[in-house]
Amino acid sequence: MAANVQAIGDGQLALSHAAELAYARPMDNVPEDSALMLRYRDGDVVAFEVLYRRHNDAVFRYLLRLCQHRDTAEDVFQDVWGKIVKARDSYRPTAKFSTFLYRVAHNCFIDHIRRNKRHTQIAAVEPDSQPHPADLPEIETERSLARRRLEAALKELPEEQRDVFLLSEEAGLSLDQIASVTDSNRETAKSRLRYAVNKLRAAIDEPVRTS
Amino acid sequence: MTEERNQSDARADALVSQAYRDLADERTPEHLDRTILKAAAKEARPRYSRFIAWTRPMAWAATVMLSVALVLEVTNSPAPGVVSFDETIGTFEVQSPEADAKDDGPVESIEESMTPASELTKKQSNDMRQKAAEFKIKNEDILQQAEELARVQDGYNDQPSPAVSADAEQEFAAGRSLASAAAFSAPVADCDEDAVATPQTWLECIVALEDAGRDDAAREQRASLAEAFPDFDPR
Repeated sequence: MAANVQAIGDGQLALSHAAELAYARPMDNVPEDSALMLRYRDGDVVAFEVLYRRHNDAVFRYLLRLCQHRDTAEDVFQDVWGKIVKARDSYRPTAKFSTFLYRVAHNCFIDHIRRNKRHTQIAAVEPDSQPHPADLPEIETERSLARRRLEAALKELPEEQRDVFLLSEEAGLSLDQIASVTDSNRETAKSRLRYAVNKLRAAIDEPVRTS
Repeated sequence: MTEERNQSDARADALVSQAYRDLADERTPEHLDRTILKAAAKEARPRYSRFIAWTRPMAWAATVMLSVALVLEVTNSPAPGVVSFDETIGTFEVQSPEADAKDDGPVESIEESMTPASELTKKQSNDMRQKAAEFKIKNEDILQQAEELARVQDGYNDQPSPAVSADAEQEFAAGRSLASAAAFSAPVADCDEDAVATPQTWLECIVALEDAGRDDAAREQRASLAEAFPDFDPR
């Protein structure tokens, strides 16, 4: 009943919550991503919505940080989910769904780079990099400074290191899974991640040291 | 152990992670959500899935129904071999009681035995061919005898019965009945009723047959005479 009321009030988001509850009830557990994908393959649209709501923000952030351009990230994001939708008939739960999803996202990003060089033209005015009014220098806290430095350091990271770091942070993938997604070996992925973390750590620590 | 190492390797520095968590608060734009979910719903619409789901059971049902219908058709309908056999008789227009008896036998046995359709058809076909051959032989014999009789009657009887002879020819030609055909082969046909009334006249008839060169008929008449009048000495 509460779910229904919420669905009437909040629209799409609440409906998705109700649908997730409905799926969780018969299995006594939250259904796995692969199970949801298989249900969607069989024509269950609600299963796809649940799956999408689980991963959409993380995938979007991953692409946003990789592309460093919102419009490009949105294009690639649509491309990624379009491929996931189209791949439903041939989907086999042989690997973790998130590995499959981020592999598709990674490949879409690479394809997009090859198609055009737009990603290299980093927008001079990046909406996400604009300082929020609350983050004006006079009221900026040390935390917001660290955040801005991290963001800048993330942009300066080499593409491969940034990719590995984002896969670790946003997707929560293990080194083996990261290696699988990026078509590299485990040691390479580990090395890239270590370099990325060290650079970001240095960027975060810098203001503290200077202060 | 390896898993733990993987986890520890994969886990970025806690401070960096926390800083990134604070930074990464972007959410997917609503218009993208709507577009993607709409596209997903459109793609998920069943195209042929319902049809495909029903195809196999429908195929099985159709196969079973056709098989049952075929078996019922073969077992309940009159056997095609018997029908064509009757048609064969019709062309000859000769039907004897023996033939009727023979015809009834296989049909009953077919209905009772309920053997498979192919075996039935094969058996009926063989029976039909055999009976057709028998009837052909019988019909040829009858025609031969009729011709002989006609010759005897023309040569021996002072008053040949053309009407009877013509009828006989017609009957033989038409081949209506084996019973009537058998009548021509009886002793009375060779030697008429007046001739066989007494042993003497019968013997004269036999002599006439021998004179006409019909020794076989004469021998049959002699045998009949001996059976009818065992005390009579034909010599």
